[in-house]
Amino acid sequence: MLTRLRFAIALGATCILGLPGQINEYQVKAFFLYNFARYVEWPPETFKAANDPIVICIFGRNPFGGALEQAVAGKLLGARPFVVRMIPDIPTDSSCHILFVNSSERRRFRSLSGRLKGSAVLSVGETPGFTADGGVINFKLEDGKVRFEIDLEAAGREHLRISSKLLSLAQIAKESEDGK
Amino acid sequence: MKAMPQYRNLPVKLKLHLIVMGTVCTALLLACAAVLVDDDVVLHATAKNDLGILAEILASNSAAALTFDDPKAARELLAGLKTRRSIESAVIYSASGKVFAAYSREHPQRESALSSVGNKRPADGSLLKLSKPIMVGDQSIGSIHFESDLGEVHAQLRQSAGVILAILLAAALLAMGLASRLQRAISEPIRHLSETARHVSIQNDYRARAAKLADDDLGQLTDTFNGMLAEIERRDEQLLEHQNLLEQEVSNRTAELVCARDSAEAASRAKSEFLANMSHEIRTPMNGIIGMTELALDTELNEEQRDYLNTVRTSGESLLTIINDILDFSKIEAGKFTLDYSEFDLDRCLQEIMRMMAVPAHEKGLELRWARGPGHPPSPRPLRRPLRAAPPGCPHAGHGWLRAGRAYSGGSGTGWPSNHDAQFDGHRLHQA
Repeated sequence: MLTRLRFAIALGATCILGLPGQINEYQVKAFFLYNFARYVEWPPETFKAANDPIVICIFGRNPFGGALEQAVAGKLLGARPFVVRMIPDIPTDSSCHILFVNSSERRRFRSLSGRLKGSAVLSVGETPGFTADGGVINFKLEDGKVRFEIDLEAAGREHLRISSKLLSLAQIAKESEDGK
Repeated sequence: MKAMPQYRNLPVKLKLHLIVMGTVCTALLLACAAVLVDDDVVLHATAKNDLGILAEILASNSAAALTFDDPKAARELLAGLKTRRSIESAVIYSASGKVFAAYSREHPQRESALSSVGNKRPADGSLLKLSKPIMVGDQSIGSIHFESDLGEVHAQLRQSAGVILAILLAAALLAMGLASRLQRAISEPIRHLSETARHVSIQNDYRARAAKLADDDLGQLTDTFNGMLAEIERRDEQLLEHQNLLEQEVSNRTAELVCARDSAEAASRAKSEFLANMSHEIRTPMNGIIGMTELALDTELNEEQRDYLNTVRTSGESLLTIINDILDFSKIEAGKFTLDYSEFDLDRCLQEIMRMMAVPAHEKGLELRWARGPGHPPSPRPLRRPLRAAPPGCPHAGHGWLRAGRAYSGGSGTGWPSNHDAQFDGHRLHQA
């Protein structure tokens, strides 16, 4: 009931915020999410063929609505299309290239993040301390604007190379200072 | 056009200078202008190219900022342009055409440089504008616009113009130095030739020669000039020789004439002296004859003897007169003749002459008579002594051709000749 109510409020907010010409937080995040792919380099063995799709997995509840599918629709990175997938569990292989972890799944992610180690998955979260839990990129809100922090150690663990252009826009997360 | 006659009247040396400097400066100016134009084109192209590269880099670097909607990062990126002093302003526009980030050199700290863009900027001519799309993949997500001040380019151009001007000046100076050295090869012979010609014409020194400095056209001209001088000199010498010869001839002739005159004069003088001497020598015995005759007349004589002796005496006296006359002639020649007046009785003189001539006339069967004409001057009257000789000549001559008949001697009505004529007559008589 509470969930429904909250959903209704969220939906209402979406409706209010999602007026034509207005961009809500998740539309921005969806846009960012697939654009991260432009500035991140996966190890060569991740993709078998040149036109293998880049798979964006959403772990937990989907907060984007259809925004992510809309954002990636028809987009190509090189020859690669984008695929959006909902997953119930953290994968143990590299079937996901970008893994969005909903804030609701933070606890689960913290316990399961050890599975990702070395599987070249770009994990993106939206909860404080996400990078301390082993995530690579974490969305933040600053003055109502979506920003992100990047954990270079995590990226290194996943054998991901993040472009300096992206790094220049991000806060660099320090694990030792994190986790409050 | 007004300068042309002035140019034409310049000395050759200056003309050569002007020609060389004019040519060199024109060439240098053209070359420098070409270099400057080339510099201008190259510098503009370089500036444009540099700006293009910069725009490319910034477009690429700002793509992420634009993608992830981070104007702050974009502004920081653009703020890096402050090291590029030529960039006036830079603006990043989002795909929707809104200003995403802006930079202005004059107001780097201002949030939006857009407000200042457009005011207080250099003129459009010195602004280089460039715009580049910001691409992500093959999709344009915005654009970046640059405005670059060409002041730096212009300063560079000014600097290179200054350097070129300095080179031009140095080259012109060098050319001037070279020209002043090299033009001597042409102007020196001409100047020398002209000086020699002036010297020759002023001093009339045809022995002067122009020195030949080279075997070119001017050298040939010098040779010809020298040849002409030599010809004139040769003719002068010939003329002088002829003149000398003529003078020699004249002096020779003069000497000869003087010699001839002298000898003639000497001969004349000798003759006069001879005559004078002779007269003296003759006069002495004549005086003896006359003296002795007068002595003989004082002795006892019959009539006939007395008559003969009288005749002797008068003849003697006549002879003495003749001798004196001869002496007078020699004096005339010597220019020492003087006239003196003495009593002269024409009748008596004629009687004497008649008596003297009567004997030979009688021998030829002629009767000698004389009579006084009506216009005769009264006797006695003074007459110059030398002319007493005149009358006897006439009857004598007449006696020569009047073999028969009557010889008549007498003065005509015209009277006696004037002094001048008498002198002349005397001379004539002497010659006869």
